[in-house]
Amino acid sequence: MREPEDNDRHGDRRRVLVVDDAATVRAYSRKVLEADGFAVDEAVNGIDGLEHALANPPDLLIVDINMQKMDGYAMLRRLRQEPALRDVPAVMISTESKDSDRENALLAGANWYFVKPVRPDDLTAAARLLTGRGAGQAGGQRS
Amino acid sequence: MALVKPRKPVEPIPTEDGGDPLLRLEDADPARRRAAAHALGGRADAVDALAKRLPREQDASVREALLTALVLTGTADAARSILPLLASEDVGLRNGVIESLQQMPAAVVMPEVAPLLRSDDPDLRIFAAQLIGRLAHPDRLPSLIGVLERDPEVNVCLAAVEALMEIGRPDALPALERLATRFPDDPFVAFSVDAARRLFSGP
Repeated sequence: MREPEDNDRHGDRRRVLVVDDAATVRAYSRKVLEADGFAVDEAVNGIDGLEHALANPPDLLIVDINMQKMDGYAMLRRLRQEPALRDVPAVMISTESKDSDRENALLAGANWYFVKPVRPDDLTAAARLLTGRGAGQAGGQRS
Repeated sequence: MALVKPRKPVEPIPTEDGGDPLLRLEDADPARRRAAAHALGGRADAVDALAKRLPREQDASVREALLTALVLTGTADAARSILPLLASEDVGLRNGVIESLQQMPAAVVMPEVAPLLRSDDPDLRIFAAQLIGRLAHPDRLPSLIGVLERDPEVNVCLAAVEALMEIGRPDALPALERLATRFPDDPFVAFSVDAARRLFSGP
């Protein structure tokens, strides 16, 4: 089991890996999450996301669905086969709002599903909940 | 946006028995279907058969070969034949189609894709905006600006913003500024327009 300090270049802050091929979405997620005390890493597609997550397991994944090279579903399915990453909570975000998209996200291993654009408060609330961070815990300290 | 590596031209591989590769597309053996797809690359008369096989094909390597064959054909018919698959619920297939359309001649693809910007389905309009942003075609800037000016769905507009930022054309800035006034309460729109403003205004 990974100790809190292992591979954590962000100190005690909980770490979020944002996987999206849109640079603006990654930058926006970083701004919102960092303002709420999370540390943020970025990956540009599913393959890049897998490599990042395997090298440095995050506390939370935020994953887009439509990405070239490896889409979000494929990335999450692959990630759930890795013992070290099986239980990392994941939020899937997509522009698509059909029920089937939500179902497919949950089947792939997501814990939460948002339709873009995500409001900042919703994103941070989900991040806090899924990382076990209480609303009153400033700076995203590990409990 | 990640650049897509061009598909390597594939040398046609004759089917083992020298038979009609069109028939072999339905063979039970994936290796034979793959060989048939390779053999049909560039054949205009095979477009329908290749496109019809695609949504039923479960083998990833055969699917890749089918798309490569259509890219090698590169005609308006080939582009038109796979456009309906953008509405597929299979995200891998959709991405394969987008990637393939990017590799066909822009002059061929643009007239086929541009009408999708008027589709009733916002998801299709998003895919169209993303794809148009990747086509080296003189109409892509006015097409994307038209999205910013008129599309009622914020996610379609944001796909166009992302595409315009990647194209890096400062003459899109006035339309981006107007977009911010169309969606004044959306924080992501404000963030995106601000990012574009900084990008286009320089240091």
